[in-house]
Parts: sequence; C-alpha cells; structure tokens
Amino acid sequence: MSGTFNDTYRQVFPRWLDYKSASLLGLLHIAEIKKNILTVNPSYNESEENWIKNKTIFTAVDLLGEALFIKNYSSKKALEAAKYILSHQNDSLFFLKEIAKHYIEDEKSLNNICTNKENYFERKQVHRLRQLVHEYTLNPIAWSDLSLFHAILGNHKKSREAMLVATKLGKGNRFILRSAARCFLHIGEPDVSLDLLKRSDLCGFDPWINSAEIAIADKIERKSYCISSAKNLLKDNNLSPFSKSELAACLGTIEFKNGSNKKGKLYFKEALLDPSENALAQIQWILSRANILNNPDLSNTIPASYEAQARYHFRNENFSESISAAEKWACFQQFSSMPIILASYITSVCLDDDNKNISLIKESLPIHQKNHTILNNLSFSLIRTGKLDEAKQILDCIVQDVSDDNEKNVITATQGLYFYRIGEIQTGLENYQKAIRGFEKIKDYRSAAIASYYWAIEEKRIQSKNAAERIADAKKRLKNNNVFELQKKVNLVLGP
Amino acid sequence: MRPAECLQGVDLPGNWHVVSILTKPNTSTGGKFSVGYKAVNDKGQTAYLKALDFSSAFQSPDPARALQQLTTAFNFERDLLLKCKGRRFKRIVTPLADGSVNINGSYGPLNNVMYIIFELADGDIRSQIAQWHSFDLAWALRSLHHSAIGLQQLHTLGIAHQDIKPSNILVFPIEGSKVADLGRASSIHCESEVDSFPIPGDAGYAPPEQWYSWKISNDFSPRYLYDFYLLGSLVFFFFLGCSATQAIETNLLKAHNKQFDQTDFLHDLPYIQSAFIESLEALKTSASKLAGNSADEIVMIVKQLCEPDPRRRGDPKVLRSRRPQHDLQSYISRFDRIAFLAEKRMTRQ
Repeated sequence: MSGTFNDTYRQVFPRWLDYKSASLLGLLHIAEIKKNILTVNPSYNESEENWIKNKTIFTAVDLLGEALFIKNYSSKKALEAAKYILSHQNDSLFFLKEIAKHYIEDEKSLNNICTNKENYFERKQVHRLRQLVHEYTLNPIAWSDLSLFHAILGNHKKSREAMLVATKLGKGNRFILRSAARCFLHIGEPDVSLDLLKRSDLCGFDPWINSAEIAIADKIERKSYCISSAKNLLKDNNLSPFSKSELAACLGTIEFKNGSNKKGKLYFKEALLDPSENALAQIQWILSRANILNNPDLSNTIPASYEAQARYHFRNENFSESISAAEKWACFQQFSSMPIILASYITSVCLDDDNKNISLIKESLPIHQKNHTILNNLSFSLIRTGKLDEAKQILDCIVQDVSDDNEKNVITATQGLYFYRIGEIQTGLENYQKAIRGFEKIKDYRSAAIASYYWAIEEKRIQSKNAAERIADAKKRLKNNNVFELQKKVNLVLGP
Repeated sequence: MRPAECLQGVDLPGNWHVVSILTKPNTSTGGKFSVGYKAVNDKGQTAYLKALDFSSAFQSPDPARALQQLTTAFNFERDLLLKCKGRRFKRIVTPLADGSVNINGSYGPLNNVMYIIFELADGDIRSQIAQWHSFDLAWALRSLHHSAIGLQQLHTLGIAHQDIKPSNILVFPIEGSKVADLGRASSIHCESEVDSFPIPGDAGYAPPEQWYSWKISNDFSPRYLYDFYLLGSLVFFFFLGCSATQAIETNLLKAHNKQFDQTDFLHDLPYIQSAFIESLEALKTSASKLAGNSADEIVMIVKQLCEPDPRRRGDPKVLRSRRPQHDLQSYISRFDRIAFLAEKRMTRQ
C-alpha cells in the first residue's frame, strides 16, 4: 500500500527558512503594531532644499538616503531624485541606480514566493554560502542559511555544526533562534532546541519565540516555561495579530488535545485574525480533526500558504490542486519529506497514476529518496506498473532499516502486494493480515482500512473464493474510518 | 538683510579685506547660521571668511536659549580649531584669523559680527569628483590617506569629528585634502551640546549603532569609532557614490521588502551585518573595476572600518593587542601604501 506521514498530531513548529524568504514573509517584523507616523527629520528637509536648489547626482543621493532612512516612500521630491539618478547613462552609478530602483519599485509580490526549485537543487548554493562564511565568519545569518542547505542535501552533521556557530553568534536574534530550534528538531535533538529557546532573552517577550518553545515542549511532552507569559502576550493589544497567530494556534492545539474544544476554538479564532501560513496550516489540520471553525478563506491571500492549501484541497477531494500545492510546499520546506509523501500518496492512491508517482519521486531531492515511506510508495507504484524486480530491490533495502511501527506495517502491506503479483498468494495474504493486525495494534484504523482495500483488490484480481468477504470487509472499514479519498471509487474498483 | 550679510568691503584686523559674498556650501551643517565671504589680505592671500549670524536666534520661539546655543557652539568649535592650530595640524582646516567687527547699521548689539577666516579651498571632494572625466584612483586614495591623518590628528587631541562626509573634506590646490567643520565634534576635555545628540552628524551617514542610540560603553571611546565608520563611508562614496549608511539601509529594506522596523541593536545586528555584506559585495564589484590590484585591500579596509558591530570595528591586529581600539595608524599606512602604488602606476602610464 502507499503510505502517508503520521498526521495524528501537528504542532506549530517554527518553519526553517532561509533569511531572504523569512524576511520577505514578514516573520522578522517587529511584534508590535506599526504606527505609521513619519519621523520628522530636519536633515531630510535640508536635503530636500538642497535638491530643489541644486539638482545634481550628489543632492539626489542625499535626498534618497534621507527618505530611506525615515522610510518616507511617498515624497514627490525623493521620487523625482530617484528618476533623475535612473536617467543617467553612466555605468559606474550602478549601485545608485539600485537605490533609486528600490525607492521607486512597489513592494515585491509574495505570490508564488519560495517556489523556485532550481535554486535549491544546486550544490552551488552551499558552495556560495561556504565562501561567504569563510569571508565573513561572524555573520550568523550566513551560517544559519548554510545549515539549512546542508540539511536539504542531507548532511545532518554539517548542518548541526553550522547551526551551532550561528547560535553562538546570534543567540539574541529571532531568526537565528527559530531556525536553530527547527534545525535541532529536524535532526532529532528537540532538547537542544528547547534549551536554546528557554535560555534566550526573547523567551517570554516575543510571541514567535514563545510559540516555538511551547510547540516543541508539547512535542516532547515537557513542561513549557512560556505558557503563562504566552497568555499575557495574547492579551497584549500592542502586539500585531500576525505576530500572535502562531502562538494562538499553538495554544489552541494544546487545548484541543486536552479536550477543551471551546477554549481551543477561541484561540483558533484569534489565530485567524491575521494568520501566518504556518498558523493557517495548523487551522487546516485542526479542521481535518474536528469541525470547530468555519473554513477560512484560502484565496491565496496568505503568502506561501502551500501546506494549508494542500491540506484544504485534499480534504475537499480536489486532488490535482492538492498535488500542485504540495509541490510548492516541497519547494518551500525542501528539507521536509511530508509534502512529497502527500503528493505521492494522492497520485498513487487517489488518482491511481503510478507512472506520475514514479517520476514525482525520482525527480525529488536525493534526501527524500532515502525516506522509507517515499521509497515504499515508489515500490508500490513500481509493482503496480509491473516493474517487480526494481520494486523488490527497494523493498529489501528499506525493510532492514525500518524501526517505526507505522512504516513497518505499510511496508509489510506493500510486500503483500508484491507477493500477490509474483504469484505467492499465501505469503501475500499473510503479509496483508500482519500489516492490518499491526495497524490495529497501534490504533491506526484508517491505515488498516486502506490496507484492507488493496488486499481486496488483489483477492478480486485473482478471483479468490474469499474475494467477496475481503471486499465487504474493506468497504466496511473505509466507511467506518471515513477514508473519504477512497470512498467514491470503492464501488467502481471493487464492484457494488 | 541680516548683520552677517553686511560685511562686503569691510576691512578687518590683521590686514584682511572682505571682497565678496560666497554662495553657501549646499550641504554644510549649520550653514544656516553663517554667511560665507571671500577675503584677501595685504599679501594677496585669498581666504574664506565665515561670519556668524546670531540674528537668526531671534526668529526662534525661545531667543535667549537659541542665542545661548549658538554662542556656546561657536565658542566650542573655535576653541577646538585653535587647539588644532596650536598643534600645527596640517590635515585639519584651521583658522587663519578670527575676531569680531562692527558694521554700520541699526542692529544694536548685533552690529558686532563674529567671524573666522579659513584658507580658501578649491572645493570639497564632491566638487572635485564632479569635474572628473574618468575615475582618478590615485587621487581618491591619497584623499582618503589625508582624511585618515586628519582624523588621527583630531583623536590625539581627544576630539572626535562625528560628521565626516564628502562635503566636509575640503580640497586644497597644493596640500591636498583636509578635514573641515568641527561643528558636530565632541571633545574628551569639555562637554558640548552635541554630546547629547543620538546622531551628532548627518543621519544619512550615521553608523548603525547611532540609529538605535546604542553605545559600546559610556566613556568617550565610542565617538572615535563613529569616525572609523565615517572614514570607511568615504570609500563607499568614492567607489559607489553613496554613503555606507545609504548602502546598508537600501539592502536592509530590500531584504525586508521595504518593511524593516528597528527593535534593539543587538537583536537587529545580524540583519544589519547581512545588509553590510551585500553592500561590500557591491563595493567589491565597483572596486575591482576601478582599483584593479588594490581592490581586495580597499574592500578589506572598509570591512574593518565600517563593521556594523562597534565592538569589532577596526583592525583585528589592534583589537588583539593592547593598543586602543581607535588607533588609526594602520589605516594611515595602508592608505598611504595603496595610494603610492596607484600614483606609481599612474606616472608609468
């Protein structure tokens, strides 16, 4: 069977992004609500006077510099100065032209942000960053970005080392702290993440740091030191709703987990005021568990909300849209296997497009091609397209390394399919039985229903005498466990 | 007409004669409170006369306070200049004479106009560059060398200039570049009103720590480090046409999609450093075109002088030694060496 990731619980862990993406998404903005008061600066007026009196490159640059310093993007005179600089043909003014262009240009559109696959696939990025940290050793941002790209290439050790340097240089900075927290969580050291966050001066004051601390403490079932300060932060009207969204979603999830749906709903409502993409993804996850909120508007207004869109479309059975969103999510969080797993699951299970699934996995980053679930999904599609030898090789490789119960059961079910296809019916049957019992043991009844569906297909294909019984069992399980993605086609595949 | 505008044709003590009024330097700080003249002495020496205009204080809502501020600032600057003159510093624009003159008119006590006479410069480095047909590397590096000496001379007297910018580096026909305008300077020996300003100089040139009113320590040493940054900023001006602050600010706002808001200096420092690195990359591109073999050395000097973290600003060798962090000597030598090499290359051509 094709497997998916363990989605029984989700928390609002901080995203691990490169500096450019994090800053463009506004994750590094101040938490306080911005007061749009233009600073009165006497030297700005003087520069404006000088520009009016004497229009030269120098007075134009001075005026632009002053306008940028006080972030006055609406000054007609400064705009005039910017156009004056741009009108010059001299190549040596390239940087002044950059300043002028920056002044004139509108804010960048954030639609389709971080969906550029090419940038990340190339090892050039790591090479460039290594050169950068060599030249500017004390820049924590370059170290943090280097750590991320090492993680994308699957070099956990190097990623860890680079992030340790970044935290030593920038432990008081939100971007570094959140990146480090996600990095250590990713490489299986959540204690280090928690320790870093707890020791930070920002813990208790910055909602972004608080949400990270609470989410990670929740994940490893530790006591969070930030819960009480988090509640105060949420009450603080000086903080922007955007800065509080992840914290509210995080607390909402904890309340939901503890059975206080009513309290949880209030937190999620707060998170919805101006959500970050991560908070929105959390809301989509909670909606797949309980109908405690109205479905939020997902009309692409939240930049980079690819995970939220993938989840939303999957739940609403818009499978093609969900795959497209998952592909963008994969570019956005390249080190994460979850989007590839989701896309692969939908392609093979919901759309029955095994050839597309094979190419999707083979085109994914090398790091994902080491993931057991992804490799299992590849073997599943290879078996169904008749490439049995290749599938067998992959299954033999992964079966030795798997320790996770869920993954073991998924692989056992795929092995069952393999044995059915090579004609060893009894071994196939035993494998499917073992997989279903395994799923039931860990109370994953949904996966047990999916395994029984594929088992029934095989029984029907070989026209076994037990086929009818298997089909009835599969239909019952799919219905009882709300496997919505298969319910529509179950009668088509297995018969009425 | 203001009293300070009535000096044309007046004879002054020391055989100076005021010839004509000059247009005000367009970017000089405090220029609103002074009027410039061309003056000559009996030996034919031409000079620049700066006449102080105290009448503007009476336009202020609190004339007494404004007058006090003007006179204190004038006296402070004059005292600093006289100290420099006493030490015969060649890289500081020092006064040739100063005093007051009574003019005919009905301005009451304001009839007595205070003035200072300086050597007449060819212009500032901006006006020099404006005349260039192609980039003159040797001249630019020599000007930086002279500016570094000027700053070092001020520092030895316990004075931090705090307003080094292209319009405050004056160019003289024979002597080369000199540091001018001590109107925003601070002295370790006596307090001035400027000491309380979060940004004593021009905001468009201010080092990042001044944006946050952050200080490495409460003593005088951070002020010397402002001068380091401002000296490095002059290199930005020569090679990119803007100040280090303008370059950093642009890259910072570009990275944050025009939405960067300050929080705390130490928190924001990584962002500023990142923007600084981008600025250095642009500088490197320009310097490699204009300075050839010296480009790496120039970029390295700027990297050290303009380091956004004042705790690490300056020559790493000095930082590791027991010498004071604000010792400019190594930069004077380095600028001298690369200027010499550029001059040598130029003469060969």
